[in-house]
Order: sequence, then structure tokens, then C-alpha cells
Amino acid sequence: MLRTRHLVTTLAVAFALAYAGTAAAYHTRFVADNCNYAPPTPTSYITRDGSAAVALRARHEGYQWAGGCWNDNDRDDSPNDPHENPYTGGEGGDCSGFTFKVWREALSTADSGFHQWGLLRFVHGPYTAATFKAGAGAPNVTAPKSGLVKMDALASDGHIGLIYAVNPDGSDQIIEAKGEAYGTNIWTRTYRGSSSYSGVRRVGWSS
Amino acid sequence: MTSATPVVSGLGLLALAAAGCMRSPPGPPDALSDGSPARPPPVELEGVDGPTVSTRVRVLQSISVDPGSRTASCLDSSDDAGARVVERVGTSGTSVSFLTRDGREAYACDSTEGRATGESSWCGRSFGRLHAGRLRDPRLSLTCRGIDEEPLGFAWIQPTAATSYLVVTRPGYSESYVVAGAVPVRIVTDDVDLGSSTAAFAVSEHARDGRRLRRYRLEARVSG
Repeated sequence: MLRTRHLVTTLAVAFALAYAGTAAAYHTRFVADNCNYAPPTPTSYITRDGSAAVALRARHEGYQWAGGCWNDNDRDDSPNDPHENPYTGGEGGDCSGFTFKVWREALSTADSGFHQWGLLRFVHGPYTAATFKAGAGAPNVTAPKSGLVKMDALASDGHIGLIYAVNPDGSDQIIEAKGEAYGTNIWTRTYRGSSSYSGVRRVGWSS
Repeated sequence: MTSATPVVSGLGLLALAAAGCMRSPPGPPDALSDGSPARPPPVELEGVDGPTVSTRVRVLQSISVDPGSRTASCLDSSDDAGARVVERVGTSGTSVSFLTRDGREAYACDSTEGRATGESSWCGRSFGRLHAGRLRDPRLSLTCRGIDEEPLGFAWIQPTAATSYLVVTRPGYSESYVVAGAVPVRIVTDDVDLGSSTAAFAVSEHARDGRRLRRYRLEARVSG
């Protein structure tokens, strides 16, 4: 539907203008050459360890604003994209797209089932960090930070990361799509102690 | 072969009509989402065909917002809300937008429950960073659904300085927005593609006298 409407003019207006001289000069072929739109495979369950395994395959891959497609070659195939530009066609998810895929969520916010998306399936999903933080959608709920465990999330209005492990000092090892300059990896973070961050949990884990 | 083509096409059209696929789009709603009467815009908007419903806007001082109100629950998104808060009521939903005091961050809360109150009535939230006073991304939210349970897209637009009215095409009518409060304008579309996490907004911008300044299609992606 989106692609077939008759249009008088197609512009991304002010947002496109904001990228003049950057996006126009920078565009990779990663998405065009590698990604697909295959439907997901519904799965009856997923364990937290299984979800962590999905997340680890994105480790050392890239970051793409509004993205959601990556391979597993342990390098960023489109490094240093311009910030907050969804049109650069680079490798990787952004923080919320990464979370959506790792949590195996559905395109419909009313569906809490598990859906296995291929690594190279270009999909972001309907959630932003802010909506994850609010517990929006059937699969997501807010949760007290003190009780968060592996593969629960810590979300602020502008970022979300998944707990990979808890350090002895109470900080967390967070697996996250951090930004264009960082890609996707595991870092020690103190999000749990920050008032900007709230706890978010995906419902329905089998263990 | 050549002469048969129009016949086949005609049969196809008949079949489509019988299946209900050629229904006229619905007309304009007679009420906004909070139940208040839908009214036309105060000026004629150049190039806007068909019925147009004017959304309602209210610019509040943040310090005067009722602490128990739904707007207050949105202001709680930030501990650094700026002076002005913009409430908008449209045909499909309501929104609250505000900037932080330093003008570098924008927040929005969206609802499709017209008269509902409280934190839980927000079905969508957005956050954006401004760079030199501009958003780089319209911060699309796709987590709200209309009364027909179809997804709606909420996003911000920053019109030109000369723009007084924004018009967004909806099925069977247009919806107009008054630019107000020096805050990006939160607009709504039905043109949502969940498969690509995108939405499209057919927009025109108009001067105070209704003259059209520009017309475009904004395609927005869920991000960040």
C-alpha cells in the first residue's frame, strides 16, 4: 500500500534537508545487496539462553538507525554512517530494532508470540526505545530494575540494551546496538543505577 | 484478443464492486476523538479538495498543568520540561508534545482513547533530539491503534517558518493542524505498513491566508 500510492511530490522534507551533504554523499549497498523480506517463522517458545545466542550473533556487527539486518562476519560492513539517518542502507540494527529481533517479537503490537527472524531479514519492528521503556505492546512489560535477569532490558527514552550478565559489583554486561561509532557489542554499563533507565521484560520465556 | 480486453476488465471491475472493494472512502467524522464537534478550518486551504476537519490545539504553560491530568502524566516523561506544552485533539486521537528547557529534546505522548485519563491511556511515546533546533528524524510511533483496531502512525513535522496550517490526507477527508507553541507538530496517518515499520504522510503546508506553500509526502521509519 505504502509503495503504490500516487504522489505529486515525494520528499522527506526537513529531515532530508538535514542530511544534505551527508546522506547524499554516503550510502552503502549493504541492505540492497544482502537483506531480504522473508516472513518470520513462528516458534512456540524461546529460552533466555536461546535469545542470548541470537544476540551474540550480532556482536561485532554494525549499527544502522532504523535498521534491522546484519550478517555474522564479526565486522561492521558499513562503518561510520551519518547519525540518525535511516536512509544510509547500512548493516545492523539500532537499539530497539536489535531488541525486537533478539526478543523474537511480532510486527503486530497485539501479538505476544515468538517469531524467528533471519539475521538478514530487514526488519525493525514497531517499537522505539521510548515505547519499550513504557512497556508498550503485548509482549512487553515494565519490571522493577532490582529483579531484572539475563535478557531483560534496561531502557531510557533514547536507548535500550539487554542484560547479558550481572557483574559482581552490581553493574551489568549489556549487549546492545550502541551507535554508529560503536556497532553492536557487550559493554559493562551502569544503566541499572541511572534514573533515566527503567526495567523492561519480554513476557513468555520458557525458562 | 484486443477487443476482449475491455470486456474482461469490465467483468473484473464488476467483480471487485460486488466484493465491496470499490466502496467510496468513508466521509469525514462529525466529532473529534474526545467527542467534541468536528469543525472546518477557519480559512480556505488552497489545493485541499474535499471535506477538511480542523484538529484542536491548546498551548499550556507547563507550570499550570493540572498535576492529576493526563497531560501531567506525559510531562513526567522528563524532569526538565520547558515552558510550553502543546495538546492536540484530532479525529483519531490526542497527543501531547513538549520540548525540554534547553530546547534540545522533544517528547510526545499519543493516545487513541479520546476521553481516557491517566498514564495508562498513552499508547505511544516518542523522544527525539534536536540539532540546531531541528529533528533529524520524525520519530514515528506505530504502537497505537484506531477504533477499528488498525494501526495508526504518529510523527512530528517541523514546518517552515511561514506555515500556519498543516494538512494531512486521511481516508475520505483531510485533517488540518494549526502550527502553535514553537513545538514540532504531532500528526497522524492511517497509511501504515507494519511489515516495513514505516508510515507515509501526505502533507501540505499553508500560510495564514490559506495559500499553499508546499506539498509533499513524508515517509517515516520507526527508529531508535
